[in-house]
Amino acid sequence: MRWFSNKRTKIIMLAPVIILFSVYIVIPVAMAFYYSFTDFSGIGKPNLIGFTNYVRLFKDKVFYTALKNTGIILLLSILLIVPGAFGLSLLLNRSMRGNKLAQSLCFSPNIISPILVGLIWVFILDPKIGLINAALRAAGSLSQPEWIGGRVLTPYCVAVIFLWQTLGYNATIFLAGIRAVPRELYEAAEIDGADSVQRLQYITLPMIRQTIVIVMLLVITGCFKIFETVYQLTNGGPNHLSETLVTYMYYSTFTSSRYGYGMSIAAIAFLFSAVFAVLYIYFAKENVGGDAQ
Amino acid sequence: MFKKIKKMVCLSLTVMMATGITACGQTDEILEEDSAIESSVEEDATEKYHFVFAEHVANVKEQAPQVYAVVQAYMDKNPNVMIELQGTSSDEQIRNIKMAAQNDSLPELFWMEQGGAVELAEAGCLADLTEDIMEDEDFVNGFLPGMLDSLKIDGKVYGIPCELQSNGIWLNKALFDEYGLEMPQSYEDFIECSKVFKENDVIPMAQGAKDTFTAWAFENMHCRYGFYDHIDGIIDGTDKWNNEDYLKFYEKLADMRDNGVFPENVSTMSYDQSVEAFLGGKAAMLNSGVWDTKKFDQSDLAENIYYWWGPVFSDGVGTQEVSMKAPAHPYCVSARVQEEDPELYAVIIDFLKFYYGAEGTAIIAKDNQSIPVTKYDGEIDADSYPVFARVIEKMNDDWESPAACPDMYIDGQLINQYRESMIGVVNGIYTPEEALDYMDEQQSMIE
Repeated sequence: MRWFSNKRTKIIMLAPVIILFSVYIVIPVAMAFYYSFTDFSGIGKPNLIGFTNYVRLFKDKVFYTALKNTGIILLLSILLIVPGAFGLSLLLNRSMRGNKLAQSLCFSPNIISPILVGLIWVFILDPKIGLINAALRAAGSLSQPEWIGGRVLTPYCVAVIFLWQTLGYNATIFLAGIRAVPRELYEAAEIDGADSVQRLQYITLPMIRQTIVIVMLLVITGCFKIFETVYQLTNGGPNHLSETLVTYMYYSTFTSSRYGYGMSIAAIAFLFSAVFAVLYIYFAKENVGGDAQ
Repeated sequence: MFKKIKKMVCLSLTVMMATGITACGQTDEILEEDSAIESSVEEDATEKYHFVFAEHVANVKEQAPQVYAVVQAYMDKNPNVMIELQGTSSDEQIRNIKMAAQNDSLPELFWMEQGGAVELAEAGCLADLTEDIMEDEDFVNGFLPGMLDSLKIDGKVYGIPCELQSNGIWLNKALFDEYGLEMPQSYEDFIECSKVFKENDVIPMAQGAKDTFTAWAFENMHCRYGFYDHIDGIIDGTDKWNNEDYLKFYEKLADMRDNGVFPENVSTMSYDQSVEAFLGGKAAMLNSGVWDTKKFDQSDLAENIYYWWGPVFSDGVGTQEVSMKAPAHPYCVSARVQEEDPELYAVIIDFLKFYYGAEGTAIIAKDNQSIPVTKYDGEIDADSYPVFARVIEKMNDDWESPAACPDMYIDGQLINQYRESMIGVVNGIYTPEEALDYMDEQQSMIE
């Protein structure tokens, strides 16, 4: 196997992945950064305009709305999805009747096309034709909240939909992590008299730290990629009030033909996502004494 | 054994669920098929000429039947020509065309929004049609006035309008009759009617504000508040969107909103839903345009549907009898085909002459109840197509029309923002002043 680990072979074997990664990730990201410094409209040659797009961006009220909405979704997702998925995985880990069926049901929202998810939730959340307000009316309530399409609630509803869509998926990841914990540790703890809370605190949680890191990273990066749900629910509206960074980037780039400006939003979204992910990994690493790499 | 059966049941359920749900997803993808490409005819090995005609609707046969019919008729007449009709939604079409322009792979013949077409022409991507079009006097004379000027740059013609851009308000006369109302003329009539409808749980005017492009009839109204008196100054930087005349118009939008003209769920109602509400008899009026004529003629309401240019305003600016009979976005020919394949280019020109000639016009108007950009002297079967007959009547009235619709006059990068500013007032998101300030802010971004 010595030939297998020499430098030349390693390079040859890694080359296809590196080339693909460069062509489809590195170069497009670099190009996006380049275009963010131009006035490119999609036709003709781009002219370099320095930081003009970024200066405009930081004066743009819609950008701040999109940033705020993305922040709300991110915060709610971290607060709800990670503990929720962990709790769900603990339930699914129990031996009980219908366990497999429950796993399938929990996972199923994740395999529905995101556009369809948006469509389903329109019929649930629409203030006029939606199921929730119809139920409120039937119950005699005069209150008809604008779950979507109003000034306030849309980002919260998007977070709930994201939760519904990804909870089962993340729970499955947690479940895999929990099942990888050696049974002997629990048996030993039981013999030592540890109760279930102590087993959770001193065995399960420390042993699945890397899984927690993965789920957190998936949630963080997932929040910065939410597009179809918002697109289908409100199309970013009314008047950009429910825009997220990605939907506003799409709008600026493709609907308004401001490619340069759109790429500056993409660059900022990329930086936010990267910074959050790196910071999280850094702190997670600190907390687990370096074993979360 | 029991465990095995349980496992099998679980597995089957999972597979069924996955199949069912992904099948739903696929249906949705089909419904959402923005990039659906349909081939109008099957491949034929004997074809001599083949070119792509990229249209801006996802399903050309259903959504632009007049285009589909003319293409079919041309291919029937010229069996050696195969036209590959590609259908894509307008947003995606614009994106695709821009991307194709980057790598010089534009379709031979394609639809493009006006602002983008101007940019393409300036970048040398479009064929100069002047020589082949303008020298044919009979052909030129067949067009309605001003139609060939819409994409004329420095005297050169780079495109021909795909259709007539005619925005307006559709009225369901049966509902007006039911509540003893006359069809409105002035803004005051319009508001009075709206109040009556509102009191009777009828949506006064269906408006799909989720799709901001549905600001159509508002553009007609804006022309009655001096849109063209200010816009050149705004573009030059000597005037502002937030001026006295425009403010009066935006205040009228707010007034309509406050008087309950629009549905309660206006911000989440899509254009399709607004049409459905109108055709379902739930709305007395609909903000739309002549492109819905055929659909309405085929509906049960055909006898009762009337077309209107929208209200006139007692405090309006300038002429109030303004209609909208302007050229729509153009069809363009790629410069590449003109330079590299003159023979195929000649075929495309021949097709355009057929499309806009007497035969094409008859197919568009008579057979498909669409409004052509060319003169049509043929008969209209008012018994079979009452809505179309009424629309043609409106087209022939003496209300003057601007040479271009407002959203085609402004920069391509501002079209959506302009529509959003109006829809924002309708939604109650913007005050009139905020909407106009937003436009000034957006205008400054492209200067």
